[in-house]
Amino acid sequence: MSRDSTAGVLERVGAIDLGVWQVPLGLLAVAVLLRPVVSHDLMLGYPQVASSFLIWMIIVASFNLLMGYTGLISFGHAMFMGIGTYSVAIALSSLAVPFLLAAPLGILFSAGVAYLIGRLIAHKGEIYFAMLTLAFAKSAHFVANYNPGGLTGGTTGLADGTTPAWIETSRGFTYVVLGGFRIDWYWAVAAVFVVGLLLLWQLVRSPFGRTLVAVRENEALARSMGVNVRRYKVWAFTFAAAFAALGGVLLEINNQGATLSELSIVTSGNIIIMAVLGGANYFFGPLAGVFVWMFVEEYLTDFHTLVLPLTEVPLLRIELTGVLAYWQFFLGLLFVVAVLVSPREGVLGLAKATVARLSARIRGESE
Amino acid sequence: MSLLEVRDLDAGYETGQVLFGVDLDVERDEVVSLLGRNGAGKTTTMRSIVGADEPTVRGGSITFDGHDLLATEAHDIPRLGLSLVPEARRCFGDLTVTENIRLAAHHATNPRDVAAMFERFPELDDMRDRPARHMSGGEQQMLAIARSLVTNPQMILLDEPCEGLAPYIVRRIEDIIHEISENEGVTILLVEQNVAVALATADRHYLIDEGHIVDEVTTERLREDETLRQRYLGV
Repeated sequence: MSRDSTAGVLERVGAIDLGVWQVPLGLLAVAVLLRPVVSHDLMLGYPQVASSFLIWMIIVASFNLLMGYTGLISFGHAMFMGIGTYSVAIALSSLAVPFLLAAPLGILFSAGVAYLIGRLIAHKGEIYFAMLTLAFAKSAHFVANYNPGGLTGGTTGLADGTTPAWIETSRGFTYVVLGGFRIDWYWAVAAVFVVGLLLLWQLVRSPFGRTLVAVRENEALARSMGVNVRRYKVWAFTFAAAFAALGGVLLEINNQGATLSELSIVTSGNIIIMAVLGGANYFFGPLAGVFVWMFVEEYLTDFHTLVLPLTEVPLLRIELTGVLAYWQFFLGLLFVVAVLVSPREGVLGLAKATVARLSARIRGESE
Repeated sequence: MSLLEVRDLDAGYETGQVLFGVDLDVERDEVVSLLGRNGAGKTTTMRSIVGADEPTVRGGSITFDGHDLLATEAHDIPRLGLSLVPEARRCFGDLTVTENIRLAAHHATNPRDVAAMFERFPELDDMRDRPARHMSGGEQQMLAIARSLVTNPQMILLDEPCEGLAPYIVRRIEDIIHEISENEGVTILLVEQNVAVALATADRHYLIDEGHIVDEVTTERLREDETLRQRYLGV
C-alpha cells in the first residue's frame, strides 16, 4: 500500500490527531509500556531484555536519520555505535576515566570520526558511499580485533573493569545506585531514550531536518534553492553517529563490556534490516522494526514446543526446536515481504494502513 | 551592463555538443523569452546558467549582476539573487506547502515574509499543511513560483511554467508573471515552446534552434511574422 493512499484513508477516517504532542506522548508511552508488555506471560515472560530494546531503538532511529530522512545508505553504522561502546569500555578498564566523562567524550569522538569520514565521502554517489562506509566499518572492526596496545581486547572484547562502581547487578537485574538512590537500570535507559529521541525528533523537524528531506527528495532542486547539499549530508552523518554512539554508550553498561560484534558488519546489516522492517518513512518506524526483530529473536530462541490449546490439558504438542533454529531465516522472509510490499513503509506502514481501513469499514465508509 | 549576460556559450553532454556559441542578454526589469522546439537547447541553456551537474560548459561565459556564474558553486547562485522555477513545477512532495516556502526562505540571504506569500497566492492558503504531492499541477506551479519569490530574487528563470496546465490556470500564471515583473520589479527569463504564453508575457524573444540563437525579435514581430514562427517553432 502506498503512502498516498494510507494518508488519504487516514484523512478520511479522521484519525485522532494529537498534533505536535503525538511524538513526545508516543515516546513516553513506549518507554513506560515496553517493559510490562514484554514481560507479560503471553509475550516473553521476562523483563530483563526490555532495556536492550530501548537502546537498539535509539541506535536504529539514529540510522534512520540517514536512510529515512537524508536518503543516505550507510553499511557501517554499527561502527559509530561500537566506537561509543569501546570508548567507554576502554576509558573504564584502562584509563580509569569515570563513565560520566567517558560517555560524552565517546559520543563526541564518534561524531568527530563521522564528520571526517563524511567530509571525505558524503558527496559520492549512493552506491560508492555505501561501499565506502562498509570499508571504513571493516577497518574499524579489524583494528579492534588486532588489539592495539592491549586496549580493545581483540576477539574477546572487554569485560573486566568495564562496569562503573555505581552499577549493581543482582539476579539478572541491573540497578543504578547514586547518592543513596537505587534506580532500576531500565528506567535510567528509558529516561535517556525519551530525551535522546526527543532531541532527534527536534532535529528532524527543524529547518535542518526539513532540508535533509529536501535533499533526499531532489538533490538538484535543493541545490537550486541554495542548499549546500554536501555540507548537509556531512552533518546528517555526524549527528547520526552521535546518536548511535549514545546507544553504544548505554550498551556498554547494559552488556557489561564491549564485544567485537558491536563493530561487525553483521550488526550494521541488522540495523538496516530493522529500520526497513519497521518503516523508514516514519519516525516510529525504526522503533517498530527493533521491537519486531528483537521480539521474534527472543521469543523464538526461547520457544521449543507449541502446546495446543494453551491450557492444563494439552491435546496437541508440536516439537518446533528444529524449525525455530532458523528464526533468522523467517525474519529474513518477513523482511523480504515488507520490502516487496512497500520498501519504505515497513510493518508500521502496514499496521497504519490496516487500522485505517478497518476503521473506515467500521464507520461504514466504502473505500 | 545587462543583468544576465551569456556570451558564446558552448555546452553539451557526453553524447555530444548541444549549444554552439549562444549569446543572450537580459536587462534589468525585462521579461525575455527563450523560444524553441523540443531539443533546440532551451533546457541546456537554463541548466548551464544555474550550474546544474549536467551539461558540461565547454566555452564562453555567463555573468549575472557582475558575478561569473561559471566560477560559482550551484548552491551559491541563488544567493546572488538568481532563482530557478524548474520545469515540471518540481516541489518537495514530502514537505508541506508551508515547509516548502519556509525552507526556501530559510536558505535565502534576504528573504521575504512567508506569510505574505499566502496573501499573494490565496490558492495556497487553504492547503498550508498539505504535502505538496497531494496538490494539482496548477497549485504546484504556484508553490514553485512562491518558493522562488520568497527568496526575494532579482531575477527568476521560469522553465516552461505552463506546460500541461489547463487554459484558465495558464492565464493565471501569465497574470502572475505580469505582476511579478511590473509590481515587484523582478526580471524574468522565460523558457518556452508555447508561443502564446511568450507573446502574452515577454517583451523580447530569443529564438533558439539546434543549439544556435537564430533570431532576436520583439513581440510585435513575432506575432506578425508567421514564416518565422513556422520555421523555428512549427506553429
